Amino acid sequence: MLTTDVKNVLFNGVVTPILGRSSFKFMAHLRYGNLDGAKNWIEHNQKLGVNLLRVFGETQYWEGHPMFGSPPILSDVWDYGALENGHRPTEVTGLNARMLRDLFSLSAQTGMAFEYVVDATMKHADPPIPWGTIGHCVRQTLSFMRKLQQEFPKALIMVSTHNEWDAHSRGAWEADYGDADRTKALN
Amino acid sequence: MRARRWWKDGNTVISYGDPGGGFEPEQWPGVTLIVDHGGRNDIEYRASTSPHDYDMKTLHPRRDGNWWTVVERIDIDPFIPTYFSESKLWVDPEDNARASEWYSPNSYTTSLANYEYFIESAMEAGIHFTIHDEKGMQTDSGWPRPLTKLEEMLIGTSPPPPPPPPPPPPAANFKVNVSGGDPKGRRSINIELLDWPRVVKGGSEDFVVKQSYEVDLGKEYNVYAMGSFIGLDRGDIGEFDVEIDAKDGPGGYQRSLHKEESGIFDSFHMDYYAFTARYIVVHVSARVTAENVYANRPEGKLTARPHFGAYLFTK
Repeated sequence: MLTTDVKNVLFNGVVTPILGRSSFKFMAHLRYGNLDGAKNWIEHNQKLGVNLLRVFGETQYWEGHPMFGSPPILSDVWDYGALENGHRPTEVTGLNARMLRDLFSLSAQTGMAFEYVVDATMKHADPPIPWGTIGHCVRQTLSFMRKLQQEFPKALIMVSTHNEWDAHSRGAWEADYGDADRTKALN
Repeated sequence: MRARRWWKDGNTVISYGDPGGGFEPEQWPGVTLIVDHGGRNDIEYRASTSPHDYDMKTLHPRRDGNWWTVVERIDIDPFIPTYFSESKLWVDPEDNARASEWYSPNSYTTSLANYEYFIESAMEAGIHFTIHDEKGMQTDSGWPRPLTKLEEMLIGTSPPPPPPPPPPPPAANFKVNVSGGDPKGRRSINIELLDWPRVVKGGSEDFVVKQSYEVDLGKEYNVYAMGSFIGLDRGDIGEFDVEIDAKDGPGGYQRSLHKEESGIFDSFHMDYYAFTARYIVVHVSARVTAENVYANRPEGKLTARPHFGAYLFTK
């Protein structure tokens, strides 16, 4: 389990300074069942002294925004049709559940820690996905992860939500601190 | 979003503040939850060690100006970990022509010296740091070059990997032969050390052979004498040692032969003792020390071929 105390990050109770690495497309390996590719990337980085990989849980809305030199290949993680219509699916999809289970299992097996960014590109959706709906996806993911952490107690996972909150997100500040008009428009 | 639903033993309540009674924030209680702030050198969200808040001060530092010296300008909170989760993008210099068409000039760098300073100054200040580089973003083990310049730098500054553990010693290989005994009940017990004879090389301390055998005699015996056999059917000058002890008690049989010339020596030797034991430990060692011009040594110079045996005499 990855935890923090006043000043430190602890990997299974051991104080461990993080030297991480962006690995945005790591979950795509798991999306397509390429566990060998995922393990190769972990092993390669452990040889460099890297002890955490920062991975994106969804990249659907890179489509139309050709970020980082290639189109998104991590699709169908959520029921995007429902999300775009303002619905709030009550469970993670079967595909998402399998990917998350593989992530926890790999962390427990290899000792590699992960920063799992739940909502990496939903904020780029056009038309926008309401902020409250994104928050709902975050909560569903965290609820499922709680069960996985109990199943894989050695897994080293910390969860990032609302990626680049202030840079891109629509309505985050207003949702917490009040701006009724904008919040209403987005929800 | 966070901590408005509270959870305990499968029960959920909704509250804007801690409802007490041992309820924890729902979602993922007790585990690290962060929010990545984009493009700022400080945060505008609540982060503290309180269970109500996010667990780290997590930043995407600004990428303009003297971005590599940002550590000098940020406020490092002494009461919560600080983390740079995403920052200036590293691009290998040889990819610059392509990268300049993909990324805005402010978002990336090809200066390894600046990036190295950036990492080291952050980590020296106790800031947790995630490297943000093009190969990492693509998460591509098959990147056109096996190691980018940044990865080469990391290998150079990383501590060397620990040496592999030494190979386990070979399993002790022995056989216990108990004689039928005489009319007074006295028996001899021969502990055959089946690893021997074998060739031992000289010329380096690495070649010295030391081996121990833990022997279960099957029951307790009253030992009144112990002996050993050291044979040397060919080879150079060396030192050959046999020791026999009760595993958790007395013993103390020690015999160390130094063969100094080609002549024969007393291969069998016995001493008297008095103790009771079931578990016996036999240690042997062999070291080839010098060349013997008269020696028969088909295995080459500075080699010898000893063999050992251990004996107990009981009543």
